[in-house]
Parts: sequence; C-alpha cells; structure tokens
Amino acid sequence: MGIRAIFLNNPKVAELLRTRFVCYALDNVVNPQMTGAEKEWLKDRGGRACTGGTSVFTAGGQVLPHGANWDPSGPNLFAKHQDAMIRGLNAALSKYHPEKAPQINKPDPKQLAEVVRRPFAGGLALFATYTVLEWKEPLNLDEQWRHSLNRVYEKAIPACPGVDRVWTRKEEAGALAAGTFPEKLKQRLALHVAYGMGGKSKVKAVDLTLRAGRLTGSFLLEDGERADVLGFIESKDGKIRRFEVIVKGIGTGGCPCGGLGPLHVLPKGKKAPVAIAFMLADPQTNLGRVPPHSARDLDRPVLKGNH
Amino acid sequence: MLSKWKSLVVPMIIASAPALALAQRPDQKSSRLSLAEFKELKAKLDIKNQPWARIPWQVSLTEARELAAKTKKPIFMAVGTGNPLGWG
Repeated sequence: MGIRAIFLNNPKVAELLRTRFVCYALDNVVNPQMTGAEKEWLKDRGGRACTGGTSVFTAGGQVLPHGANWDPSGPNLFAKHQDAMIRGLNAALSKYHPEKAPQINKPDPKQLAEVVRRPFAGGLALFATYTVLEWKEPLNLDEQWRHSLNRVYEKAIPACPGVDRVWTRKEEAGALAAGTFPEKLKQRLALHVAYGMGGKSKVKAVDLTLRAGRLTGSFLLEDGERADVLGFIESKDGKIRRFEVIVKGIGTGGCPCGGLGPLHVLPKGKKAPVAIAFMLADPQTNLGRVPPHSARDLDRPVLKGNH
Repeated sequence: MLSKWKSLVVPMIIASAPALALAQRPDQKSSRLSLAEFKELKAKLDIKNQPWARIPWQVSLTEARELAAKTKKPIFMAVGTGNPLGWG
C-alpha cells in the first residue's frame, strides 16, 4: 500500500514509469505467481525483499541502481521522497543499454499452471476499493506506530484507495445476469465489508435485495454498526455489463499495516465513515488478473477451485 | 397548551405508524445512500482515476522480461508482502 500511495500514485512518477519502463508488480509472499526457476532468477534482483521495495533491472538481468534506499528528513519529506524516486529512475535510465539478445527461458507450462491463479473462465473480476471519508482530526500516527514514513503517509494514503479483488464463478455471474444475487457472493462481499470497516467485527447479517438492476440493503456488523448499500447491476445478452456497488458504514482504526488503504491513517479505536466499492474489472487485463488477497484465508476453496 | 399539542400530534403519530412499517418492508426498503452520494463515492473509489492504474502493469516475470527485450526498456519492479497493485 505504501509504495502505491507514495510513489506509484504520484502523476510524475506514474508518467515516467508508463512511458520509459516495463512495470512489473510482485507479491513475493502470498501469491508470487511464479515458478521456482523464475524465483531463483529474481532472487538477487529484488525478489528477496521481505516487505515493500522497488528494483530496476534489464531483461537479461543486469541490476540498475536507482537509489531506493533513501532517508530524507525535514518538512518537505513528501516532496523529497517523490523527487528522490524520479531522480533514481532517471539515474537507472541513464545507465540502461538494451541487450542484443537476452536469454529468457520460458517457464514450464505445467509448473506455471500450478502456481498462477487466474479469474474463473466466464466469471467476473471485481475491484474492491476502500477509503475513509471526512477524517479531520490530527492523525498522530507516531503515537500508535513510529515510522519514518508517517509524515509521508499522512498526505499520500488518504488520496489513494485501498484495493483488492473479488472473483466470481461463471454460475454466479450467470445468476447475477438473471437477476439473482448469489448467497455465497454476498458472503464474500461481507468479508470485504468487515475487513474494510476495520476487520475487528464480523458481518452477522446480510440483507440485500436486487430488483430491476438496483441493489439495496445493508450489512449488519457484530458491533451493531450498519453499512448501507446502493448498487447497480445490469446485464445484456446474459452477460454482466455493469456492476457498481457502494457500501458506506463506520470504520474503526487499529491496524497500521495491510491493504486497508486509508484506514491506515485512522488512529487505533477512532471511528470514521468508510466507503467500499465493488466495481467490474476486466479479467483479461493484468489489473483484473491480480488474485484476491484479503479474503484468502477465509475463502480459500474459491481460489483453489480455480486451478 | 401542551396538552392541546399532544392531543393533535399523538394521534397523527399513531395514524402514521402503519405507513412507516410499510416503508420498511423488506421488499420496499430503500438505501440510506442517495444516488448523489453513490456518484460521489464511485468517483472517489474508481481506480481508473488513480495514476498508478494507468501504467500498463505486467504480473508475469517472464512476460515482463520478454516485453522489455522487445521494447528495449528496463524493468521497474514493485514488490510487496501482498501485490503492490492490490493489498500490498
């Protein structure tokens, strides 16, 4: 979350990356989506990072230093971090010389099929995004979690929604297209609602009604909070063409790590309005192919069934 | 004066109770989220409006290397304990 919010979401950094680099994103812990041979190749090129990090290298494997390990300080920390990244990327570009014919071994298809998860054929890929609304009090991040990047987080993270994915099976997509909201899908959305509201309180009741393409109702959490729902689900020729569902409730701060996005900046125990969206992604695109993460332990069979 | 007010208002509340109950029937329930609020929140939460989502990301190392060789560009890798394009 930190890398995306602080660097990748900066328009200048994003434009430099979009135009001058091939950009590759890796979850090196839960869903690496790579074979043993690919892991081995990557390990000395940034693949051994235990938390967040960035690396620049060529197709053939030459690492290009870009000064990712910085320690700026002072009142302009936010700008300094982003400027440092731009300087580092330009430094890497200045050292780049394309290789004539880099050796790139194709991964074993059988191994690849075992480790790479893909959205269900005929199913839907949805983005689940989270944000905190109307938070105006001082954040005092240092009181709960001392970190050199806190000053940076305070500005960058509220502007960058947390994001995860929800995948549906073909049968679930078909049911939605026919006007029925599948119960199991309601439960999977409920996992994200509970997580997005702070993760301490589970959803104890789901009350959703889909009628004429309009979804209304609520998720009731164990702590008594109710998260309201308004959404639009439309289909054409048996295919879902629109899936836009917004959930709004009260979230509680408390976890300074993970994918909650803006909930990072809510001091522990403090409450604020939180909005969560579920919106259609294209399962054929790389953004749509990133596997669901936050619900992984609670709904593992759904992912395993995709192999 | 107060008793006169009560005598007018209390019967009105009692009379409107069936209508309130009807309004909350499951098949008639409405969301507390307005359409205007829906539109505002959708814009805030749509990742298409985020600069990082406009980068053509690769999620396969080998495909990234092949593309880098073909387009003669270096590879920028973002790594996390969770995908940087998602939870990480």
